[in-house]
Amino acid sequence: MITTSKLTYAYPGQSPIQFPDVQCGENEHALILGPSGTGKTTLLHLLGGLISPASGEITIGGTSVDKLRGHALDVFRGKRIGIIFQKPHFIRSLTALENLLLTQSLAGNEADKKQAHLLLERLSIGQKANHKTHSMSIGEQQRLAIARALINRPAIILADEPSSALDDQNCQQMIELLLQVANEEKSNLIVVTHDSRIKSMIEKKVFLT
Amino acid sequence: MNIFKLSWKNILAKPLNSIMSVLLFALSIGLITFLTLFNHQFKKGLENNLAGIDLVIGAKGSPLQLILNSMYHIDAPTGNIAIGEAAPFLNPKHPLLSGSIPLSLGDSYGAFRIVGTTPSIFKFYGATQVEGDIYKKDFDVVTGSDVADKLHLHIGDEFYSTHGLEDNPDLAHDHGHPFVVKGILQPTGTVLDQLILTTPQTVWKVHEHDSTATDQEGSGHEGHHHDDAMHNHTSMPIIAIDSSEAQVLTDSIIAALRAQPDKEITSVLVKFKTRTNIQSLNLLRNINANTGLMAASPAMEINRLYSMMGSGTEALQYIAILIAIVAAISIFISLYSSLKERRYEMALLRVGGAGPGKLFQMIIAEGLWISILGLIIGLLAGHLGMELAGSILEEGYKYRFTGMLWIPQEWWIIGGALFVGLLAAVLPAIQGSRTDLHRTLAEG
Repeated sequence: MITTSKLTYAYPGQSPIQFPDVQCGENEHALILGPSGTGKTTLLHLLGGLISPASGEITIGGTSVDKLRGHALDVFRGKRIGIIFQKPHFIRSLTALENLLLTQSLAGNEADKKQAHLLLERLSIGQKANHKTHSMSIGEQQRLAIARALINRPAIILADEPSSALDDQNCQQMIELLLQVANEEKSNLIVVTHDSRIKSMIEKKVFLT
Repeated sequence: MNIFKLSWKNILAKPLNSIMSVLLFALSIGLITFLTLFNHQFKKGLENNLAGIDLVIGAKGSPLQLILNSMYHIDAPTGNIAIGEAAPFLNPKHPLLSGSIPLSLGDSYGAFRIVGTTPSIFKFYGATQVEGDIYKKDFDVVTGSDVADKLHLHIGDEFYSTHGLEDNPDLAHDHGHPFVVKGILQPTGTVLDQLILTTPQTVWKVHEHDSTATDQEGSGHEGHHHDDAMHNHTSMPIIAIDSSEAQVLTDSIIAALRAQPDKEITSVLVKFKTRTNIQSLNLLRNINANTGLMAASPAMEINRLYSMMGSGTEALQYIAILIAIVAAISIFISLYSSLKERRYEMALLRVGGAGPGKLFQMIIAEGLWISILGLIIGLLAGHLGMELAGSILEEGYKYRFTGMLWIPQEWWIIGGALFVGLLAAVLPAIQGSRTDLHRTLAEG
């Protein structure tokens, strides 16, 4: 469950950007579309609690995220939000499995090796658990990024241009996989994209201009 | 996988980046540890050998040389003095003195000095236990524990001395009367461990024999026979030194010395009855001004030696501190440059729920890991270096140096090293904790 109303964000020395309202009910997913420079990533970061809005409200699973600051916001982000970035980045010094365990422990959860292994299996990269992330293929890295976004069972999964680096086939698979796991975990999936290939796969759309 | 484990993994993931800092740190810590261990044992060794001796009286020359020669046995004698001149200080009834010991030097065996002296020397240096027995006749010797160890001497062994204080086989007195080992002292931690002790008369007789080449009959002959147990090198029982017996022997040796005022000894070690007595305090000045002898105060000369040695070790210590500073800068640079590469990782940690404080802790921990590694290697190297240098130093200083000890100052080294590691990591840690989440991630 996610609701925003009258969100604005101001970069220092610039006039505030206004964002259209986003609303997703249970099991509802959304695309955020718009040309470059309209603030798609900014909106995603607002939803993810990476930055705080100048005005307006964000409610995720009953919590007023716009009111949270500092430590409370860090904790909320860790526990309730999973983010998949355009390029998959990981902690280079850790293995795939260790990256997941770290994500658990940063959110204040018990590091659960069994759960992490199961998740990797589910995403068909179980055999890569003890590999360093930079030795994995781009497709495997994307799957690991999904695993990391899911490991703490978040309320919403945010994906920033997840398909831009993938070919058609991988793009399709990636979005299908995301939708599948989001449905299984009962999370809302919100995807920022300008990729026309995935427009048909998610019904709800928010246009930025 | 918590933030501290992560910091350790980060260090391991880029070993080459860290290795220079660790090595520099280890070098500095090793040097400081070595110097600290050396200074500690150097001072302790000097102080152990003070043995409550207030004055050393010998031939005129350098007072420091007299002290080094007569108390530490590491320098040549200043010359000899006639017993007649020194007789007042050998008088057991001297009103100011509670004890005095004559020393006759001149020979050695296997680079260890043979010292002709009275058995009262045992009590002076706190030696109470001996394997076998103390020496009672000329050519009987009691060796220090290190001498027996190094030269593999056993009770009943015989040897010939070498003229001079170096181990030079060309100067061996390889004819005439041999020395017989009668006793081996238990370790005392003093210079006695490194000496071979006998009567003063023995030292004369070795040289008389050389010049006259007459056969030395009499005194020591029954000491020659070895029974089988001695040849098999079985140990003799360790007994407490009988101090009244030692005193009787001492009195008779002193009496014999005083009966030959023309003969020479090297020096006399003297203890006062009371140190604060004005007359005692004036004795040193009186001897130096009014007699042909020289008196030197061990405490004064050793302090002079400290200040001379001190400036040398101080200079080395500054070099070590300089290396520590370079090591700190190297930690700083390696953390700072890795921070640039890891900007995105920092942002990921923030996304995952880590607050700025966590990032700060992680980078501080990385600095600490490097300093802890350097610390461990440095401490080990310092101790190992001391242990290896110990045998060389032992020859020079005539007392034991070891790396197998822990002294309280080392806690300061540990504290200092951790502080330096912390200091080097603070700026990168502040920088890292301020990672701008939104901008870093938006730039990709």
